[in-house]
Amino acid sequence: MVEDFEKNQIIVDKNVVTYHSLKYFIVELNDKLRPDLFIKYDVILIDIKEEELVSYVVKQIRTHLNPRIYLMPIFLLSTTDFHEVVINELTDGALPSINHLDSIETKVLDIQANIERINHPKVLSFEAQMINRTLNLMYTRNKKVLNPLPYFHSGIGYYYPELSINFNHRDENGALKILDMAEQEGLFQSEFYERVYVCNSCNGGFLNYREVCPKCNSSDSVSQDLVHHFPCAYVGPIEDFQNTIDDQLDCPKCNKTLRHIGVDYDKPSVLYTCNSCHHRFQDYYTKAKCTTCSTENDVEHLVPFSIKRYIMTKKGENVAINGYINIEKQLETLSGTVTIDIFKVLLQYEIQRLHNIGYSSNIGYVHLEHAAVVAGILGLEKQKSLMNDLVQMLRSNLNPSDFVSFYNSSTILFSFVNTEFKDAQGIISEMKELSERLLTKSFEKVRIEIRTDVTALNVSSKVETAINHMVFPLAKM
Amino acid sequence: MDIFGEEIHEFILYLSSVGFSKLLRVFWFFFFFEFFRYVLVDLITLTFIKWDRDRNHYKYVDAKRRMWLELPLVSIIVPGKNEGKHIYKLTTSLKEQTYKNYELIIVDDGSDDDTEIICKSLKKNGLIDYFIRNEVRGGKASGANTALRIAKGKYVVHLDADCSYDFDAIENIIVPFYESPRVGAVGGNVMVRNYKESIATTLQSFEYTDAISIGRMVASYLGIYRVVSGAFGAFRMDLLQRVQGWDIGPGLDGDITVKFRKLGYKIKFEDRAVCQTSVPNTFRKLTKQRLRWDKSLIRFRLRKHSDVFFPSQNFSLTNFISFMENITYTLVLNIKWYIYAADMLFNFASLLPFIILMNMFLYTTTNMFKLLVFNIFRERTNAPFSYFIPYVPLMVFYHGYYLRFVRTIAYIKEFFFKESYKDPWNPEKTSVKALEIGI
Repeated sequence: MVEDFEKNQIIVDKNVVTYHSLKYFIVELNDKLRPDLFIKYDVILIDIKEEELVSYVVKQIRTHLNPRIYLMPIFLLSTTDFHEVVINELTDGALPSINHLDSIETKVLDIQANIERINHPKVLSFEAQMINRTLNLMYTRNKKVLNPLPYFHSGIGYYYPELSINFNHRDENGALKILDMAEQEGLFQSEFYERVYVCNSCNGGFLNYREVCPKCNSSDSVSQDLVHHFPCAYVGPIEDFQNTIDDQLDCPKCNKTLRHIGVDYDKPSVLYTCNSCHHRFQDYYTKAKCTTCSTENDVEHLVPFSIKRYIMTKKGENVAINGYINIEKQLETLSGTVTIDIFKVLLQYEIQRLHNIGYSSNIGYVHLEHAAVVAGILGLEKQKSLMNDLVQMLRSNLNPSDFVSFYNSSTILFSFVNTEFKDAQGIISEMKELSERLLTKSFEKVRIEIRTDVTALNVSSKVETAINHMVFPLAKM
Repeated sequence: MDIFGEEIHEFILYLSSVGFSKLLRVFWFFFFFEFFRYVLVDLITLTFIKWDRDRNHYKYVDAKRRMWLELPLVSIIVPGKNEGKHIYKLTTSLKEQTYKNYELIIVDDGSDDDTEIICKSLKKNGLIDYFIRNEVRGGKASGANTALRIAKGKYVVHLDADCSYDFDAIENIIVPFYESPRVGAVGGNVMVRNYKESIATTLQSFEYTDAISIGRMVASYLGIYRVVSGAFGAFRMDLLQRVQGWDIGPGLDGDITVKFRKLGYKIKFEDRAVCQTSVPNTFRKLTKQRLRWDKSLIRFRLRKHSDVFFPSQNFSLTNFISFMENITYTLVLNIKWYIYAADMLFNFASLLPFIILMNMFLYTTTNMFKLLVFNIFRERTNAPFSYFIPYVPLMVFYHGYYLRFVRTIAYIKEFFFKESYKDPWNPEKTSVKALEIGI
């Protein structure tokens, strides 16, 4: 349905309304959705009744890479009561018709004023991008608390609209990791709300908890009470004691009639028989079947996540305005790499060595383009594992004396110690080729672009400047 | 020391002066009953067993081959209460078995300790195939019968949780079923693991090695073997289903063996299928155990299965002999011993010290002879026979006085007061009902 919407619609110019110097764009059912063009307008009005399509439009806007677009005020031109969390939480309100634009004007101006206050620093890491997007959306809407909302379409069952919208269904637990990181940075304070368990295989939260046969995992079984007849110690299901003549229970072993539970018989246990494999057992195994990937999880092997309410701190508010540019800390400890601080110190020594006659040194990088998009496609974990593979590959092509560091989760810096610039260029182009080959081999269905560059160091180079100068073109992208 | 030496000297003088007929008159009890049954008959039968085994070894090998070809499923059932602490060791012992095609069924009969937690954990780790928990205790028989409900094996091996097994024990206990289609049940050879722990355990170990193990080999060969031990016994599943499992005890292992015999099937003892158990380490505990065991003679042989003594459609001569031998040597001779004691007291009062010494001499010599000579008939021992040599004289008191005395008390208690129905070994609710219907 969404695809139809995308393919079969046409652009209609009359959808633009100008009122009190604000330009409103009305998205209608027959429009082809082109969010890139929304940059020309101040407000988006959605005039669609179908919940799924409204949700699709909102998602396209709120996940756009351009902050001017993803922060844009969105209103519904409808009085329809939608239940979709994405619609209710990520739109700014509703108006019954175009004649009521006055009613939203103040709010629009307020949001615009907030957007104007925000700086958009050159952020490259996926995590930092996600934190910035979330904080920006919250700040521009004067929202202080990020509440987890129970959401049927969420992969983990709970949804943080401003953040989770950026994740695909199977990778939504990545949002929790980002929030943890933001909390550690002091951008949020948290309150425990709930604990969720997700599939061990795909991190899906849609789990069907079932009592299953311990042998074949089938949930098709019948239970039988075992009856113990005291005088003769006969033990069997109640059917053994039933006769075809009357309602009495007669012991098949000693022919005595069972009269009084606790006096001449009891039911000490229940036995289940699996209809699938005929296995008999007393205790079911509780298994959680993931409805996303069909994995049968042992409940003790499910992955637990704490769902929390996040309250934006003063620091968070400040970061919302000035931007968050920290790197992803977990990558600093990756084998074969040094931390960025050590990288800078080593680079300083390297610049000093350039005073020696005939000594030349260079630095280079390998960058995964569009980290946010890649993470969205691959998932955060796969992206990290990809970076790890890249590091190992690079390490094997560098001299042992060269040092490698993460600039952020999608950019790897390294040195070419005592190497001619020309040779370094040769090596880096080879690295690019190898990296692309590795990515094509690992991710056949996903096209990931690699960007590389190399810069020669000279005696007057400053460490920070040299790095920033080199990676600056990335920030502009 | 001098006085003792004098006594010995006088005793030797007495021995040299007394004639054989006089000796026979005074020690008739020993010569006519004990020596005859427990030395002569045993020795002759053991010789036959050895000869038979050597001659028919190929038959045994062939039976084993057929068993391995068929590879029948064996259901190992272990009912018990508060046995959790033993179960891991048991599963380890079973994991070592040469025979792997078995299912292990543990029935927790209303334990009030950590048995349930332990067993569930072992089951989760694949060391137990089935674990059934009865919330309310129903007694050993109901536990075994519960296990029987889910057992799928062709043969059922009943084990006690606190026992451990030779690595080929399961294999060896199943082979006799392939030697003859008429074999209905096979008893394993129970040995004493803690024989060094105390005098009580050492004497019991001697007893298990001699009277129980050798005794059962002989009884099995003569066709009068009557108790398949609950600690280690194998049964044909179809026959267990025919008799509808175990009846309530105490003494349920002897009872089910009789039921199998009544169906006309042979009961074999397999001395090569070895299990080790810990026996009571004090005489107090041992007395309690033996009182329970001995009461079952009255309850099961004289009351419940008294039909064996009377001609009927199902009359079997071997069953009759088996029962008669049992009754004679345990009950009748027990009473007769008191008559003998009275005979000696009244007719040979002056010779009483000599008689006691002579008795000790005769029994010690016999026991020593059996220890040394019967050892060549044992294919597997768990303790060097030399370890028991210093304890041989004590066996006179253990067998001749202690066990006899305990047995007498048990018979009186059961015969006159039906004490077995009050034994806390069984839950009261079941004993009351069993008493009502007289089983």
